Amino acid sequence: MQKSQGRTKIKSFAQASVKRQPQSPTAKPPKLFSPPKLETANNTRLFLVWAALMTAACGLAINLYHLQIVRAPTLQSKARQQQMVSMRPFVPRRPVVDRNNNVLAMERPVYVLFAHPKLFKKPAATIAEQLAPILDRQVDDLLKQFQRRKSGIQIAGGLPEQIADRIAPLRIDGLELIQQYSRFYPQQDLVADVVGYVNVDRRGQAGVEFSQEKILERSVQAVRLSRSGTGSLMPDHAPEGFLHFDDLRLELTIDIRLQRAARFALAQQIQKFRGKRGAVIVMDASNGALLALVSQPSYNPNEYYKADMSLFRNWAIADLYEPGSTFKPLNVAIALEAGAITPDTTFYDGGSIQVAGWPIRNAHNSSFGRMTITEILKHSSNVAMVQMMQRLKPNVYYGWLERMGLGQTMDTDLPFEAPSKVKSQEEFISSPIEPATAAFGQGLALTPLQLVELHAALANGGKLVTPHVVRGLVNTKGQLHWQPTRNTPRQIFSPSTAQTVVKMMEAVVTDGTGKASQIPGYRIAGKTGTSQKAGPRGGYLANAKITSFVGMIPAENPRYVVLAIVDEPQGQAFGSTVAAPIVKSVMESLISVEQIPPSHPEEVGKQKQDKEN
Amino acid sequence: MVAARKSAVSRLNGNRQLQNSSPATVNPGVIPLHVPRHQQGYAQTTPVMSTPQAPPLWLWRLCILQRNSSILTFFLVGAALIVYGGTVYYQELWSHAYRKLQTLQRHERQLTTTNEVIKNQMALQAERPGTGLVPQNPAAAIFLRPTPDSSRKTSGESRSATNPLNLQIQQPNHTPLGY
Repeated sequence: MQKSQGRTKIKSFAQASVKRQPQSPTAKPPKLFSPPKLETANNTRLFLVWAALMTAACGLAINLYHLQIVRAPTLQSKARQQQMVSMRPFVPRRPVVDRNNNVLAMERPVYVLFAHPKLFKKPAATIAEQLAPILDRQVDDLLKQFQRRKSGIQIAGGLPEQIADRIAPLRIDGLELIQQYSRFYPQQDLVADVVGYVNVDRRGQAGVEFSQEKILERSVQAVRLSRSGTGSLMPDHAPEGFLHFDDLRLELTIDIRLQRAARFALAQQIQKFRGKRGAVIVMDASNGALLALVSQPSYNPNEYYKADMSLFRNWAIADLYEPGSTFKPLNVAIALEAGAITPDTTFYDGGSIQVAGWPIRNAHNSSFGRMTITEILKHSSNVAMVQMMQRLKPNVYYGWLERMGLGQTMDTDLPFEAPSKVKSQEEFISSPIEPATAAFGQGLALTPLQLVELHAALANGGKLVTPHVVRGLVNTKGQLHWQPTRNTPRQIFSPSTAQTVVKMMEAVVTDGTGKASQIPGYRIAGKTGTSQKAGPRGGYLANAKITSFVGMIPAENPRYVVLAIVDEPQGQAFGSTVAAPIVKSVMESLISVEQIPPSHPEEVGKQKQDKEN
Repeated sequence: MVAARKSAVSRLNGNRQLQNSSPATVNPGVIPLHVPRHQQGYAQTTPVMSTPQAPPLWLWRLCILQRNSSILTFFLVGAALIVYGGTVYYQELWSHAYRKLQTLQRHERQLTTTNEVIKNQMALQAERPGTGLVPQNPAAAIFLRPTPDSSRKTSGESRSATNPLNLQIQQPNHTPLGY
């Protein structure tokens, strides 16, 4: 109480701005209230306090020096180790979608579970019991694995996020989950021949995954982020644009609805005729975009390691075959274009013809007598075709074959494309049998895709378009960001020639070998083909043939080309019986998918009504 | 305690000194005789009231400067605290948002996967016989004839209506709408 009183008094003095007079040198300290004995005690105490404080301050300074200068590097690195977390943000390989945004290939994280038994803090048996139901494994099995080594045992790989989420919260010491990326193909084997697969090293090995590797891949850079005490990430060291990666996806021209329909139709016919393999190709002739490309048998790219290696190359692109009669319309176009014939020219088919000592006959040994060009195609006469092409000089004919791109590749965006084969120019010109066999599509070999490309040239008015499956990179809103540059289509036939040939091909479907592909209400052009298979040692195999059918719809203004091809079908197998029904069924789906209006609306559904009646 | 007592005493003596010193200032040659000896030392140390006069300008300025700088310091310290708090808070917010983004990306991924897998399964099921589903067929489709393009007609009319020259030539269509 006294003390506080004193303080207020001092305050009042200060407010009155009291000035102390300087003390005289003779002045002595007051002795009445502060005897010298007390002062000495005070000084000692003050000194002790000062000394203690100074010692403490010195101690602190020394410690500060030690921490900040002597041990700084070690401590800094230790702190960084605790605070910084090196992470790979999820920057996936670009997804692949079809033209309706159905995902064909996408990225997803998977986890590998490692066990380090030397770090276990619980008995191995307890851990095994906890893990067994999650991993769907036996407890004994896991225990055996734990005993194998002290550290670094891979328990399971390719675990999806859901399972990893169940293991992580168990917080078992000695278990480690390592994140990896894995490609997932939700459509399984449906588009494997187009999309391909990515191997364990994340390299595309087939299909678009291989050919468009540079576009699909995005580099993943490890980012070092600091972490707060609670373990949450902090942005202070995040690099620029860390979160902003584009959402572009690779869009294909494929339509999986059509792809599915084509596969279904093809699989049915292959099964029915016990064929070895088959393919269906649907192309938009106006630009070369492939709407469907099916090869059977196929593989599941999610489990590519289980599949037969030979399936990884799409045989519709990578294997050559002799097209047979499906090549005849192209020969007619060449003859028309070269001026060797007119649409009204007629030829006499006597059933067989001798060329350089080799007899050439029609299928079924039939003879048709005098026939027009349309009839030649309608009945697929070999003899008349040989006569027709004999009107062309072999070197002119060869020039035309080269102009159509035979002997070359098509520069398509699918990998492992095989260049088509024709005989050498000398051989073709010197030996008369070569142009004669080429007249009905034997003695030259091309890929099924190239045959479609050539027929597309007939359909689109003579332009040779590049078949392709890649539309470009689009964002999630569907805006196109990048488009591959392609060669400008080359005009090989005049539009009038192309139109004439298509009209002739229409007759093949209306009342020729292609009747099986008729769809009421629609005008369809087409050509069947049943060709012999070349053996590995030259010559042709006795009982092996390739049946095919190529169709165009709508015939009045052809836009789509559909090819079905079945290799080595058994039994009564011809282009008309095996391949034409496939094309019909694919075209029916195509009409629905592409909403093609009928040429004769009154006929639509007539067949159905007839059946019902 | 000692100091308090001391100052109390000095104040007491000071007051006395003021009373006593007034005759001394009047007559400097006279030394009061009756001042006790032991009081002489105190007389010299006693505080004296300064004459009320304006403080010097520099002091005045320093005072103002001190006051202003104190206010400034207060606000600066406040601002520093707010900024510091802000950085910590926004880091926390960022980390929260980042976690949310990761969760959402993950949900999106899972949704896409599930959606595509279900689509594929349904399509595979549909291919099996006995499901009652048939492939799309033009025979089962309904084709509508396009109606005569009436929009072109009306737009032509409206265009002609704006042109006074054409208005006289063209016959206006009097068919009422809705009949």
